[in-house]
Amino acid sequence: MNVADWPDWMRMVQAAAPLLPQPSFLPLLRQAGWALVLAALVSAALQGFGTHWIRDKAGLLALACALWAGVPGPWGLSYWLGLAFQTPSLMAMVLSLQYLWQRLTQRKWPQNVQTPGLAATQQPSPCWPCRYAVLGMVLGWLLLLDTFAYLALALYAWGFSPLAYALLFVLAIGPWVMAPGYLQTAPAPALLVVLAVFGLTRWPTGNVWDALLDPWLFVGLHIYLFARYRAHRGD
Amino acid sequence: MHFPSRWLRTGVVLGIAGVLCLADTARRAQRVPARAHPEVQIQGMVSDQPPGEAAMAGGHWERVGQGHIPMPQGVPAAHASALVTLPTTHPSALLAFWFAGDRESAPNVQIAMSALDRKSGTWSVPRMVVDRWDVAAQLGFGVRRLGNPVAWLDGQGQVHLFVVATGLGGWAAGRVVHLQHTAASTEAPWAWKAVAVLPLSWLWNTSYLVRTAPLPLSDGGMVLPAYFELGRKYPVALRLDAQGGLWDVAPVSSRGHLLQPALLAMGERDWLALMRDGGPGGRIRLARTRDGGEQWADAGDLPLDNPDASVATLTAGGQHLLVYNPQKSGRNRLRMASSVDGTRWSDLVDLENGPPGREYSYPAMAMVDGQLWVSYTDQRQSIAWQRFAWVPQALAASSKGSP
Repeated sequence: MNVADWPDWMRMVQAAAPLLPQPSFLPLLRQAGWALVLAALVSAALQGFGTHWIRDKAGLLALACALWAGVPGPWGLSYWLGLAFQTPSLMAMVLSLQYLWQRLTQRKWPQNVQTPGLAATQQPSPCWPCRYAVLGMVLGWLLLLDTFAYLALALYAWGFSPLAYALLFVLAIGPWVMAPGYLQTAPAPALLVVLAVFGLTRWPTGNVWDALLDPWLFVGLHIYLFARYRAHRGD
Repeated sequence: MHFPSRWLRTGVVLGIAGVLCLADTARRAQRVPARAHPEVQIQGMVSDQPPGEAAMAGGHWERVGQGHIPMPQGVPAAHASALVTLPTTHPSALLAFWFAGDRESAPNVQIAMSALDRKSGTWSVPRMVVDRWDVAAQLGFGVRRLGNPVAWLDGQGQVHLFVVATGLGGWAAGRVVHLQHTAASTEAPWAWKAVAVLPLSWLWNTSYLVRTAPLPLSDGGMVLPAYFELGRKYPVALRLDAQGGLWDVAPVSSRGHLLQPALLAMGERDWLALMRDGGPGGRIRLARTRDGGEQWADAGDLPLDNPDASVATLTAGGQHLLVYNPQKSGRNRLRMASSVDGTRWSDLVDLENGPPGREYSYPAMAMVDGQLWVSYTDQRQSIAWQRFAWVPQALAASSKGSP
């Protein structure tokens, strides 16, 4: 059996060179990614409008944006968004999908899901989303510093290594050791889905940092944490 | 799956992480060290002299031809040529690529190509081989501008092209697109397929560019010099395998104003990078690696003036050759120099010496059938070339003595 015939996961742990994703799927991924992210953003933005008419039509407008982003070629939004911002991270896509699913099923955006059947001491900490947002923010700053060569180590290049993938896996699933209910808290399933999809497909670039965090999500984490901070202070 | 015990859960997490770490260790263990291609050391050796000082003392480079590569009809601007030597079995000996259009960064700029016929020694009618609309259609996202082609012949004889494709912004929003020559057909003998955008930066993969020629490796791969230029400018070395797959990215210098590294192999694992200085220094800067590009370190400056302009390097017959603009300001002079150790350079010949305001810049070099070819931008309007042959000392003396 030639190395070229191995399944992706086997080559990922054996390959001498970083595994990059199949280029043929990337345009489709870019269209789907921007469609999801735009639909979630439009849907979320329109929820804040006062008039019922706009709120009622939010779903339709979000769908229209998603369809527009999904159009291939220069008539599609993803073509121009890709020019400037390439492909959203897998994390942005998964969080968007999760948000849209919750909107569709009219469930509240999960902050902290309490797990039935677990004792209070075993319940996951109420701050998991904040903690992961802080970690994401720190990672983003480090990657930004690395981009401008202010770090001694090549952090971005390290994102191609399976070791980085292994460490992220430990970070993602490690809290489960302490609290089994952790896996049902808001960021944990998304993180595991992202790592699993990345491990199988190497989307979007073959670098695990690009799968976890993109610059717009990095900006979004700042806004999220600022909002949580204000809410905490009762502003 | 239910794991009631904390110890069991810990074991599962550590077990999976351990497997992944072991896999990474195995991956690193099978990593092949980068060694410069031995032919780089002897390629173009046209005399029987041994490499080094003796070879330099044993003859000289003599200009035996010069001219311009024909431009596509009606195209007024050209810049940043790249050369790649084809195998001796190919009817064309040399390919030249450059970007051409109304002006640098114009929307209609495309990558032009011309081939040097091996038998007749003439350049073919130039053709536009890569345009931004085609690249954008293949990649699935928009491309604003194209520029700086770099060509490479891989271990299987396949020609690869790396071009800068800009996103939202100017050159600082550039990305490196990897294209590969597809099977030739009568209708399109030089068609190119976009393989990938090289993933080099987390910041929307922007601001990485290429310009200078790759350093071939003995495993059939190569080291592609590249640089970042959004605010800070710093050079990197990309290692690609024999099929053109990205293997590694190594920073070459920590100084924040160097770009367009030109690589020279002093030995298999001992390489130099000669860099353009985007700062006020006006010199060619130097970085060195002694472990095949694993670790680079700044190695000071060369005593050669340079007006923040691209340089070209090549090793031929034991000599290291450099083409550069030898002034602190102005690109109106273009000079070729040679060296044995890469740090002490002797002037060989002025390729151009025009009045102030003229521009001869962005040189490229290649060896073809024992002769040295140099191409460069002439007034941003066309690509000029000069050809040199090595004349051994004895031959030069006898020709002087003949009637």
